[in-house]
Amino acid sequence: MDKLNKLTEAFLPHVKWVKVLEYTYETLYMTAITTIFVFIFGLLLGLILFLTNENHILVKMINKILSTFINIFRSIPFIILIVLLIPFTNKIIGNITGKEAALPALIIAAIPFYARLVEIALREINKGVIEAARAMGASFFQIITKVLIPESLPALISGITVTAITLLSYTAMAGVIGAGGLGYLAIDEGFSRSRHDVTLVATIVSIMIVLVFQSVGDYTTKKIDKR
Amino acid sequence: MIVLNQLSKTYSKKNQHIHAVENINLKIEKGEIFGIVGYSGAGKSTLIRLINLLEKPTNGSVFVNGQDITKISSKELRVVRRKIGMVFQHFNLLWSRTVFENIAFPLEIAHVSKQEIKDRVNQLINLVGLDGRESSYPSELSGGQKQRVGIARALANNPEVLLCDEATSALDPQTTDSILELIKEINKNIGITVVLITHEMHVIKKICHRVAVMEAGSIIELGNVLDVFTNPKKETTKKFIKQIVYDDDSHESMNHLIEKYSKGKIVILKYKNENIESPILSQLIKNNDVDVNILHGKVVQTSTGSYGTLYLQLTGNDITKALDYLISLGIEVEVMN
Repeated sequence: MDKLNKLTEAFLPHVKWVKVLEYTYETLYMTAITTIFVFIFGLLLGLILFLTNENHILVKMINKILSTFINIFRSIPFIILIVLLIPFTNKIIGNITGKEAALPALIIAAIPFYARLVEIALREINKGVIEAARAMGASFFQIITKVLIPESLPALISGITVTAITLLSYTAMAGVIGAGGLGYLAIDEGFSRSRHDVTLVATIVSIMIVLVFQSVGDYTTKKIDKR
Repeated sequence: MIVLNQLSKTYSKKNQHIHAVENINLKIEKGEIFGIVGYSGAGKSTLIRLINLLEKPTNGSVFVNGQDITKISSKELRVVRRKIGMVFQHFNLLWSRTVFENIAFPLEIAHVSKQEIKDRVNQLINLVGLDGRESSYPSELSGGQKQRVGIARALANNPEVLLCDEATSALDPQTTDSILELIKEINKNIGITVVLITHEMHVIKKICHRVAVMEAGSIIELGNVLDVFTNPKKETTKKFIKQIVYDDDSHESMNHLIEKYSKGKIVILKYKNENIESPILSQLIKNNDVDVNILHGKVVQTSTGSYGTLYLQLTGNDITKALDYLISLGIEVEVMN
């Protein structure tokens, strides 16, 4: 520990490791909570998108409306979405700064993104398998839980990995409006105060988190993919 | 077992109407293996899907075991479907499940208890000859093994009907034969009614009792396999039968024969079961002043009987008498020159 302190003093004079740890925790907190929400609601939305993509005129309409909404939300730059959502955030969180305040914007930005990935994953499923399940007398719900989700699981997992990594960079942007996390550390405490060593450390920690996410995701996908 | 009543299916796209299946009336008996043969686009794939209502008919009704399944609720239909197994051309197994879990799938759907599933699946694995492969994933199996899983899965809920949708079309000839053998055996042992569609006459020949030939959404010919094979009426049927019988009987090879064997007469004999077992040719030679030269011959075994074709060159003084003799035995005789 002594050695680390000495090294830090010499090369990274402004870096306080306790702070780095704290901001890393905030980043992970925001990413984790958001990822859980996004996984659930994105999956649901993705399933609806997939299941409503039929030739039935009324069903098709639902699909079109949802699709349009998703496209709109996906086209809004995240930094603008945060600002637009300030009144909404204030209402449900009661605060517009801090790590909780970033959650609504993060969740709303990432759900449409993941929903699209889910839809793509479901479309990849062999239609014949769904037909086989129907021929066996499977109900609508059984087809979802026993066919659609298990058969697309590797793609769902790699999709959520990509989403989590995207969210990580979003949390950095959320840091700008005072949500804390590594983004705040890099920009407000590092860049703005010309403490480039702090920016560097924040960046390196971010990269490490991304690498860990990616390898965990890849490993899991590989493990469950029996194709 | 299955009765199709004025069954039609029309696909409408914009102002275009495609009649995939048109006004089909068909009765399939309990315990028989019924084959439907036709070229792609003939509507056979739609027809087989109308039997378990994977496709909703535009018109007409489908009776399975006396019940009109076009009139029941979707919940009741799901229960009926458990009693109609289906096997697919591309197997349609769940890659995320092992052999055991794939076969257990229809049982899970039917809410069968864990212990019962275990017993039943093991029994089925044994039936289709996949012992030792229960924990393999489909990706680790060959095509033939995958289809065995498909068959076991289709049989899991003790169905009364087995629908085979081009079940052997993705397999090599040898594997095809082993799968057909398996289906035949299952039909014999448990008396299940089998409806299969195919574009290969070989499949019909090998296991079917009755056959329907489909073209442009309609059944153009129907009957016992042996009758249809020996006495095809429609052009399409004849083409299909050519796949098996005289594969080298194109016009050219016929002309070649006539040229090469210019003496006497070249005749084609077509005969069924009873004639195959009697020594017709030696009788022919003994009783008539003719010489016989065998040019080409073939016997086709179908599951309901066999029949043969024989190409002969006849020379000598009694050709006409010899031909009359053959005709009197009930043999179909065709003189080529």
